[in-house]
Amino acid sequence: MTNFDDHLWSHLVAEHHADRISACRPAASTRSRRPLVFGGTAGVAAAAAAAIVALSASSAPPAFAVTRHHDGSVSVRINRKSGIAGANRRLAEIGIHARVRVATQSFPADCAVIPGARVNLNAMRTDAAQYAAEGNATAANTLSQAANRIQNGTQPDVVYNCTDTDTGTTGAG
Amino acid sequence: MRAASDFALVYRANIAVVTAFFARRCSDPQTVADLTSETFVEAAGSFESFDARKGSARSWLFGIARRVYADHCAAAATGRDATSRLAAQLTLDDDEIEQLAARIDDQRAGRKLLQRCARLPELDRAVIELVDLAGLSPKEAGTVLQVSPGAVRVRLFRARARLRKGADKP
Repeated sequence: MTNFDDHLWSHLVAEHHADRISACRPAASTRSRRPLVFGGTAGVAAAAAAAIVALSASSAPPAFAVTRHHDGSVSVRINRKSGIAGANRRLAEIGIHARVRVATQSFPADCAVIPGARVNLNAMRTDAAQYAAEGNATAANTLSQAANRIQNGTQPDVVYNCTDTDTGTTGAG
Repeated sequence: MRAASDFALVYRANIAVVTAFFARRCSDPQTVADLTSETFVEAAGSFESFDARKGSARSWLFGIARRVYADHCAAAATGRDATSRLAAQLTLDDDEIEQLAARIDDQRAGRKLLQRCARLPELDRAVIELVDLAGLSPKEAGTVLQVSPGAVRVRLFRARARLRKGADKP
């Protein structure tokens, strides 16, 4: 028998390290700093680390893959830029609002979520508040604006970070 | 085995009362799960700033739960879809849905009492719920509602009297 209380607790541990949180720690530095904008989701670091891949001329993998996992999350894998359109079509078909796009100057990758990451607006806002409390207004604004754009649907929540000459593979399990 | 973190203890001590708080308000298991999840996600994010000198963890959690519920109502009223909550959404299996449905059912009496409170002033209603249904002390309820424990007792006494009077009527 699955227990809701245990299920929610595992979620809190996996996504928010709830098993390691204590109140009123003496120094804020004991808190593990999450990378900007990545929203504190587990597995994001792995996704980012996997983001660079060399172009293989011989056995080319499919241009893209969109995979829905049993926990409801969806991961996107882009192997070539030509796969972006197909991945977006597939996302639309399965009812996911997120779209993959190439980072541009007006839409920088540092204000974007890496494909494969699961967007967590609450974590983004919590981080924004933390930055604000630490006096880092720029980071706080970037983060909270990104969260607002995602929520308002004016920013797709998946951005493919590459230049014209790059290829990349991203994905999270 | 590692010692449980402070937050783990707070979670275990309060998951039932927070779930019940939402189960009195919503009849859909998924909504109850989402709002409960969102409350604890928020709590996990701000637990490091929680100060036990200013009130118990339970009153702090109920403060968050009340805000989460108010946001939920505001979103529902404006037809805004709750995409921001997707992050907190759990995929429930049949066992869990059944378990939550049972908890919603368990709160029938509480839900009825809340309905009977509908004509009371908002603060009186909140006091009745937090003290008589959720089991907070008047002091804790005062922390949640930002009024003094004395004011909570006065409201509680008055609201109970009005409910008794109402119950006497045919």
